[in-house]
Amino acid sequence: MSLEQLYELHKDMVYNLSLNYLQNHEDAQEITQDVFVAVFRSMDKFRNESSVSTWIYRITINKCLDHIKASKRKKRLSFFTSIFGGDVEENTFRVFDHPGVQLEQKQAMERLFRCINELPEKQKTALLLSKTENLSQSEIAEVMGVSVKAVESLIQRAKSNLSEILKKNEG
Amino acid sequence: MNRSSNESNMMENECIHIDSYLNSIERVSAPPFLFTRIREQLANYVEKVPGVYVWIGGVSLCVLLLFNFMLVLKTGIGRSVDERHVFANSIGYSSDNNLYR
Repeated sequence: MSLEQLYELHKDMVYNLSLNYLQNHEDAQEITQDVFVAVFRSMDKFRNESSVSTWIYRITINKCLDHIKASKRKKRLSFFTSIFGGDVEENTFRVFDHPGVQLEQKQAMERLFRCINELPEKQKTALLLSKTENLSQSEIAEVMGVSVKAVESLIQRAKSNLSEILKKNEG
Repeated sequence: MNRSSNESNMMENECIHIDSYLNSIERVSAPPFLFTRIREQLANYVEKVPGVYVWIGGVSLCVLLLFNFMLVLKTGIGRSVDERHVFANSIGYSSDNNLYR
């Protein structure tokens, strides 16, 4: 399969997962770009132990998590920079900008995603793969490298934690 | 008993609400210019030296510097100058660098 074919087959999957993970279209574009550069550069390392899409899902999730960690570091740094009177980089604080969300639902979705972002990494990943990517529990288990039982409990815990966070934020 | 069943009902309703919200997200297409950008990035890709190698290099350099420092301390620069003086005096030469006093 050529690189272009691989890209055409998986570009929307990577872009949409990044969008749901980061809720900003510029960040999602950056991640999509990084994911395919990583995929194209490490094609020779790919062993056929899992499907290509599972492998690409894994790379996307790792890139998103790295991006979140980096932006948290940036935020901490910009806090200190602002204390000492330095200039804060313009794109440190990303706003909710999800092109897949309808305008009339934007506020509610922003609130929901703010709560989803408070979930632990694994719970957030399992929930998003299940609800927005519509993957089966066995597919999620393969992507996350855990058992199907573990996925089931991760999704359950994610849901109960999410409703608690929503309640807490309402009150 | 009633209270706990009410709570679980409320939670179930909320979960259905969350599910319907997440299901309503539309899938969007990736921007068409991304592939050009990826191609450009691949063309300009510079292989980075892995972090482990950088660490190994740094540690080896430190060990080498430490070894040199220990060697200098052990052999002693001052002592070798003294030895030169003794040798020069023993063969009747002046070990002084000054030509005029």
